[in-house]
Amino acid sequence: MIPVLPGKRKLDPLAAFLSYLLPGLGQIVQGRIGKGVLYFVCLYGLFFYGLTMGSWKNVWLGDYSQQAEVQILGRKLPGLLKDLSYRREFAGQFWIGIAAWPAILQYQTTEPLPKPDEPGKDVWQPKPNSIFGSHMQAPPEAELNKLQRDADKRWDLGWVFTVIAGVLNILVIYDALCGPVVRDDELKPVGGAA
Amino acid sequence: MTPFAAASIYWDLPILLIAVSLVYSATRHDRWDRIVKEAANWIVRMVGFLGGLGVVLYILSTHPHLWKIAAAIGIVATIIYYAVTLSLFRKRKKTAPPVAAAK
Repeated sequence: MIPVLPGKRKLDPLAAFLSYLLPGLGQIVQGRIGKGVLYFVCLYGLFFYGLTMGSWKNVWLGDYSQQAEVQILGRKLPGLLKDLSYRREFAGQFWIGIAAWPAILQYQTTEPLPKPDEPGKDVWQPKPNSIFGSHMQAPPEAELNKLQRDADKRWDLGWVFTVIAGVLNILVIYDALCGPVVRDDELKPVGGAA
Repeated sequence: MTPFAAASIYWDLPILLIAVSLVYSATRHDRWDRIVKEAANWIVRMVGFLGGLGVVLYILSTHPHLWKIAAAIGIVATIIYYAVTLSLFRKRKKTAPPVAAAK
């Protein structure tokens, strides 16, 4: 029996997009239900476990337009890139899909964080969103300090969990787009049963 | 805060290990037996590596004068770690037949 090389992989952008929205949804649509459920349970489990560890206050993207400029290679970062440079964790958390969208809505609707030297910044509180309230809203600095001081190290470990869940979902999206790295049908023998 | 509660973040790590191993392995294979086997291998590798590192750092932080013992444990653990993981890799490679071009 001679094993043959597999044919060209077919890309499935729709499944990839569905897997971005909900981890594993693309695989379920493709008929790989067990794997889809595994992805969903593991990644949502990891993401929400991390959120719980961080008192539901470790996934957000703040508006840092009032803060000092950030320069990379001599160029000032504009708008969203500047905000992401202040809050890099969200670049990983974003990939978990719909579960991180409240943070994007809050980012669009919440007023900018006060300047570090602004009077009254310690008592500043953002207005709750009409739909999500304070869920995934950038917390004031005083509240962040309190969380990190009083909640042991679990608050920090919590955001690490959420970032890992988001980054792992990139692998899941790739799996939905073009299948697993090692395909089980790669070594079909010629002229005989597998 | 009690010492037990202070160390409680370590009880959260198994969830991370299991989820990461399962998801990563599932992106490499479609067959469940291979997914489970690869995930188990990754769990062993990560626990071995992080556990060994933890033991060495614990000895160094609590008994700094025992750094020679810590170094010896680190070297032996590294040799065992690579011996075990390389044998796991070798076994997996043996099961996969070589790919030849179809003509």
